Amino acid sequence: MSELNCFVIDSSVLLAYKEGKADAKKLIYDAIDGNVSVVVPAYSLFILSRLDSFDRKTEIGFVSLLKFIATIQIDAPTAMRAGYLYKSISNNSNPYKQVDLFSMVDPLQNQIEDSITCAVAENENNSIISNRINSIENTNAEWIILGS
Amino acid sequence: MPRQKSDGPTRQIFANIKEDLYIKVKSKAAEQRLSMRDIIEKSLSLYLNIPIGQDLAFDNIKDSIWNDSNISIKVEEPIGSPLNFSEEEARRIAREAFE
Repeated sequence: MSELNCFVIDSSVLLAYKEGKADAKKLIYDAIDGNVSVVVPAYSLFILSRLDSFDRKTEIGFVSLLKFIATIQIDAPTAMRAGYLYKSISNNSNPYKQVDLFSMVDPLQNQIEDSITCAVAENENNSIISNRINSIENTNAEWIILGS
Repeated sequence: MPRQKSDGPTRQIFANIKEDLYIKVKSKAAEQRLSMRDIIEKSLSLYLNIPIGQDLAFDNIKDSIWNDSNISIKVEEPIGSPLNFSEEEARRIAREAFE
């Protein structure tokens, strides 16, 4: 029996699924049907559930989906690896620690999530599927853009 | 009896059925002045639990997961309330919640 392909996804894939993006639907349907194995870091669920658009119906949809998608808790080595990855980008990207007062999105949110997603994927030795570009440069994990 | 015009798209079916059953149905259909098509459509509607003459588009709305009594009760509860669905329910919700 062949092993299933296993991927780590982030909140951007779950949001794309909620929005009905075809590639996200295909991936998630494959996960529901057991054709691929998909895991999501618990932190990505925090990102998802803190959104204003996350209402009770959304919660019911995603809680049901989590019966078919495993949640990954991060252990100490993974948390520390995520911290090192985050530090490597945050040192380069904003050397003067400027704050963007006009941005509606938490500017560091994607970088924090990407750090955790990469650390989890490195630890699990899996590829990442995301609906956005990776903000982490020095990771060993393969980063696949949804639909590519 | 003139053939009733179909309102929507139709599909042609072909099936070999038991001869005695066919003769009995044909005889009753003639007696009741119904076409075989009416009989088959009514039989299929009964099989699917769709009330005769009901619009299937309406039926699709009725079938939405959010109209399921168990799920609609859960929707009314505050966010964060416990959710316990069977695997089959969860599979259906996971696939259809964001349709």
